[in-house]
Amino acid sequence: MAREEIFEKLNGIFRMVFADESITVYDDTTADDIEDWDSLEHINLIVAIEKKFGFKFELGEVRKMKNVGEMADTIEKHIS
Amino acid sequence: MIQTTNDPKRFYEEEEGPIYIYGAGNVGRWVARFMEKCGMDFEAFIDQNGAEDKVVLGKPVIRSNQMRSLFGKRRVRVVVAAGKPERIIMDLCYYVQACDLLCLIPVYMSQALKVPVCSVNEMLSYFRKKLLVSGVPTVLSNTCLGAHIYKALGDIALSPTINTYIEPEHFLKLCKNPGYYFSEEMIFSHWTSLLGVKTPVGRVRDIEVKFTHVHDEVSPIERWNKIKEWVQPDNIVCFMELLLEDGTQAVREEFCQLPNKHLIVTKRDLYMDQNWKGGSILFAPHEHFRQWDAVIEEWFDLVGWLNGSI
Repeated sequence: MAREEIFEKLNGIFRMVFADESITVYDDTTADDIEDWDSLEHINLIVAIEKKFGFKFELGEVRKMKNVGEMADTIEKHIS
Repeated sequence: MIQTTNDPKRFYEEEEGPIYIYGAGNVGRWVARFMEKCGMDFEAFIDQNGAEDKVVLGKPVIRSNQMRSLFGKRRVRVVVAAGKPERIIMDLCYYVQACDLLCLIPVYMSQALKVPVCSVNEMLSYFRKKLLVSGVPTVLSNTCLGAHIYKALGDIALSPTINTYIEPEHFLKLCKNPGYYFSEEMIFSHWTSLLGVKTPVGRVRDIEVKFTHVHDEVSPIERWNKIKEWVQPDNIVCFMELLLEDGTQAVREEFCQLPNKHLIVTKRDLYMDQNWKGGSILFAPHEHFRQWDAVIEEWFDLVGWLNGSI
């Protein structure tokens, strides 16, 4: 799956989790850029990503991801 | 040019230049102590009350107005070490505007308030995390205390018990046998009222968990069932907070005998006449953990306790 496609799906997930159709995420998007992105919503995001892409994150991966770019890297690693 | 960052990892590990600590008061001294524990060095403190012969923790304390001549054109890193950093930032802008400066400022976005706040503990979390011998543990807590512990350790709050309230009797069962309870999926049980707020309750085997700060019954259960997959069975610490006079003495005594690292947190005046029979107990009000401008280590050696040296 191309990275553009991953981001397309991620945009859909973010819009659904945060109920905001105007959200567009980029490599450097962080929790500071999305108002409601707190620790609770972070887990909701993880759950939604796992369902959409069909894999499970490991603890170390969840801890390491600092922005959406790193999130996409981890997804890429799992589905390639 | 003055640049700022609130990212200690970038400041200490990825940038270059001698380090100064602006503020020789309480926060500055804790930054210095943590740096020493982590094997890092700094040049000096800077303070409005600095003087030629003034020394704090073995380092000179330089007056603010000497910064420009001291720094010159070098790239210099400055830790803004104060619970209220505004005055320091104004000093830096006034005295060293022409210097090449990178400042570490303790300003972070509050998830709860949705505004930037000053948090010296969040800035110091970089050191605490670095000093943990076994890494960041899974923190089980029966109140929102766990979230504050994770924040103090600079880590994402990956524990099923985050944003929950669990009665001490039920929490004891969970802490005695986490593998038993985390091997089963939680299900929604019913709604209850917690401090007047409608609150969903989840059930797993014979324990009930009240989910705070949520308005639906699906997402908290789903989160619990997700996060339980990441519980580290060999690295669990248990914090039982007694906010009211809850939890029978038998429960408290049994909690004190847990094989996992455990701590009871409560106010001194609630239980000062109790015999705690050797268990770990910290007398501290809940508010202490939420303070942004006071260093936790002033009243609790969190890393020392987690590393087992106390």
